[in-house]
Amino acid sequence: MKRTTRKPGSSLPLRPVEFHILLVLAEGERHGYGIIRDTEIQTEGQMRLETGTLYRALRRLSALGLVRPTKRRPASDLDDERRRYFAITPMGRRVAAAEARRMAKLVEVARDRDLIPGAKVAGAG
Amino acid sequence: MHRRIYRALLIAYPPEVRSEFARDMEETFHDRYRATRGTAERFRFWLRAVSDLVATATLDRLGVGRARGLGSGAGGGVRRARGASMIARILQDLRITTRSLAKRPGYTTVVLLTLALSIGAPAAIFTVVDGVLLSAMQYRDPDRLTRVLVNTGGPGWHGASGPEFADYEARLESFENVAAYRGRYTTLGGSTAPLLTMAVFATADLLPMLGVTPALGRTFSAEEDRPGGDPVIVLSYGLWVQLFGGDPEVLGRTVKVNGSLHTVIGVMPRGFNFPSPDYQAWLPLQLSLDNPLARTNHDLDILARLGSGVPMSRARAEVGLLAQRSFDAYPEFYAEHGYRIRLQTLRDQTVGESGTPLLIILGAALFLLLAACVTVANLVLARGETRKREVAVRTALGAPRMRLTGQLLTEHMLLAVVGGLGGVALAFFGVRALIAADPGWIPRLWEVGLDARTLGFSFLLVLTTGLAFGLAPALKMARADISECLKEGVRSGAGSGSSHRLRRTLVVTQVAFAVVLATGVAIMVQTVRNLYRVDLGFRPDHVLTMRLVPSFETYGTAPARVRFYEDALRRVRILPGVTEAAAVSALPLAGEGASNWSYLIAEQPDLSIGDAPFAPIEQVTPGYLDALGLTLVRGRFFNERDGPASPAVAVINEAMARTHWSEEDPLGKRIKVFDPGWPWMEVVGVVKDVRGAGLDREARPLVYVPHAQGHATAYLSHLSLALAVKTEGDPTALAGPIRDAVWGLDADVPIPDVATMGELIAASVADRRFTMLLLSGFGLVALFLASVGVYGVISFVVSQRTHEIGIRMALGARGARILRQVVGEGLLLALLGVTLGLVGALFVSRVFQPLVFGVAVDDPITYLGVAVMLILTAVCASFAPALRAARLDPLRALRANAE
Repeated sequence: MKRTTRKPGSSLPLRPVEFHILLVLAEGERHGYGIIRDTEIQTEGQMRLETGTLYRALRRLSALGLVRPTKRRPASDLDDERRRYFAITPMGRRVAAAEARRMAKLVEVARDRDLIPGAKVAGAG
Repeated sequence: MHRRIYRALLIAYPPEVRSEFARDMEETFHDRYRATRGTAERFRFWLRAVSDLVATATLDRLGVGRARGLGSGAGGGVRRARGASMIARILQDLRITTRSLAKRPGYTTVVLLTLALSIGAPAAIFTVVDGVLLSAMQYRDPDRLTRVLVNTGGPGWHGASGPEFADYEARLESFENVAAYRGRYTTLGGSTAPLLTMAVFATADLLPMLGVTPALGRTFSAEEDRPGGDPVIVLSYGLWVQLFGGDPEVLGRTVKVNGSLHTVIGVMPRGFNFPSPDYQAWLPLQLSLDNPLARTNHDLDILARLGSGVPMSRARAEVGLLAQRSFDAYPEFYAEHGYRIRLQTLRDQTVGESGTPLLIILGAALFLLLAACVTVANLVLARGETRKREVAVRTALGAPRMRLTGQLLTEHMLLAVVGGLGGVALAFFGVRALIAADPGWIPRLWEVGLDARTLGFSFLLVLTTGLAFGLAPALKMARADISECLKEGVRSGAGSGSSHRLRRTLVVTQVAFAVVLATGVAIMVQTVRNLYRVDLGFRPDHVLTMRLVPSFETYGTAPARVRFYEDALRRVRILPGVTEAAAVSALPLAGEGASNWSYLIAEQPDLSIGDAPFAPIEQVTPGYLDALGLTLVRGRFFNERDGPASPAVAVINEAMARTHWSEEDPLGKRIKVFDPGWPWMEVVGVVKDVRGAGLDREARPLVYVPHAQGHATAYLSHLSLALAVKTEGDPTALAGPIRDAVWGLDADVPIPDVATMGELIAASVADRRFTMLLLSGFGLVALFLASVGVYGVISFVVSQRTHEIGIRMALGARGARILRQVVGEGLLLALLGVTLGLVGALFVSRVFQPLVFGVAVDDPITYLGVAVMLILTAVCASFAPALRAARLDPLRALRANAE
């Protein structure tokens, strides 16, 4: 299997949308609307995904083997539609972790250069 | 519903995406939709969802950004990547644009609506103008088809007489063919289910000349066209289906035409409808020239085909010569009134006078589009002010100016394209509505439809519109001085001087456009008002009219006809709600075009038929005076005793009394129709003139005779008369009962053309009313746009000068003074615009000349009124911001700027 032999770093940097989706899915399986909702909560309303953009990202993520669709489950309000859930793959976890480390390093650098003063004197102003 | 729409939209994605994700996407969309509340939120939601869908679907379709190692192979990858990157950049521009537009739904909606409306209006009108005036007729070489019109005294042009037609056929060499025809109401079918339709009786040349081959069989031959030739008929496609169910074996079968059997020899193809869709059958004319006075019966329409390569001027010279020769050869016919022949292409004749109003409306629509462009440019500029800082920052960070200009232009083009799509949709429905509402005076409206030419025209509109309102602001914004902007940026909303100047110029232009449109409106409104103020000479209210067309078989003789109308009117008169009922050969203002007849006056020298005076002769029943509310000036009107056996009588109108007996009493004078053997009629009454030919046409001499005496004094008693029924209440409510009353007498009488007299009058001025209504709509929109423009600029001036006004007020300037000054700014803009507009209107209003009535196209009062109105509007529009300025709290104004 070619895909699993790839190193976690090979698909970095992730697009912001993709990183957010991986972060949401790291918590557990979600269906499409669940991902949109949780991304919004996670970013405090900064990122509102549109349906088309979401599925485009999901498609790319599953093509890269970072996300996989799981079985369909009945919707919570018991209408007949069955929804597909998405889960993060072990590879996806490693990629997300690598991306998080990359970003953490960037934050370190920024802090060293006094670009984020608010982080040290939080609450002042 | 929302689900179904979204599902339909998903078609934008490539099939492989759809098969895998469509259902999930629809579910997710549904979930999100349920989470939105309220119309405004739903609207924003849709806007975002659709722009997201368009953007992602386009990227998918182009295969941009697809995960590597899966889709694209290695071969050709480089070239593809480069092409894709350019496309990707354009797409990125589009995405950025849609996103930034979606963030300002208010702005976007206003711009899109303005554009859609202002592109839709000209597109719809263009469709009609194109279909009616520009596109080719369905005949072979239509531009060589020529109508030959004749004038032998009196106003207007009419057809030719049989002998005149024979002259054209024999002598004119400029034409390949000359054909004659006349249209008649015709009853088709047996006695059980007769069908009333219009039929053309034509010489054998007519149908071949048009160059349309029959769908079945043949057209009639010259032998069949001779007097006494075989009775044959060519059917329209519709009639073939209606009468014979589209039976291909129809040839050789027979149809009863006005009571006699005719053999079907041909069926014309679907869509053939010469001279108009009312005509459903074509029969041989079988013209006979026996009558020695036939030369004066101008009842034939003439159509001729110009020889190939023959210029119209040569044909004109030839007919002029022919008219002169005939004038010399037949002085007894032409000496007094002359003989003139006019040639007109079929297209000009068909389109006729409708061209002017249509072109005016198209012009007005284009004017409106210009005004809208200016409005949108103004909006874009205003928005540019708030975006200036963004643009400056991006330039400072190294964004290439080309790219920025491109992005801004992309945004404006996108607006134009989306607005244009909306406009085309509007045009589609507009044209459908127009055809459905058929104002009646637009010829060939039945042929009109949205086609490639309209789409091309709309595309052109969109392109020019986008450039017109988008290019200047885009260049301007991208060229802005960065450091200046970044400094200025502190003061939000403040714009540079040059852009402000541009906005003021735009507002002046807006006002000018509004003035031009408003002047057109004012001229048309006065025209229509004047037309309605004209003294008709009768009372049109509470009158219902309809035509009765009894069959020739049942009512072949005069007594039978007279009795039929007496009985029918008696039955109608006793209906509850009916005050009076009468019948007349031709109703006023119904466009029925009564024929003129030559007459003689007793005790005046005998004249030749060419020298004798002529007038229409109306056959009426005694109740006509009261039914239509005519005014009796002298003597009496007809009564029941004016029967076939009693002395012959006539009533004349004032115009005729003035013409012949201006010094004497016309009562007791005697007149008769010109032909020998007819009795003298005594003039027993004079009625006030009725404007019968048109509200704007002066009445001409007219003779009324009793229908009961028609066969004894005026050639015949007419078979088909129009009913005029005066009612107490709503006349339309009686249409059913009246028809039933007539059908109670004879169920086989077709009753077409049911209309109130009011409707007939409205139809007679329909072209002016239609022009006026559309122009008024356009004018109102232009006025609104102009006042919004003034408001915007003045508001902007006030917000920009808050600081200055604050200082002045702190120094003691009074509110009233500030108010005056700010309103003065608006007034200045308005004055400039009005001056410009009035000059423009003076030029443009000339096109109204053929339409106006009772008002001059350069009427100073009208122009003054328009000017005052526009200035008042501008003052009102600048009043609100001025008031805001006058009520400024100086302290807060100063502080606001210091922050």
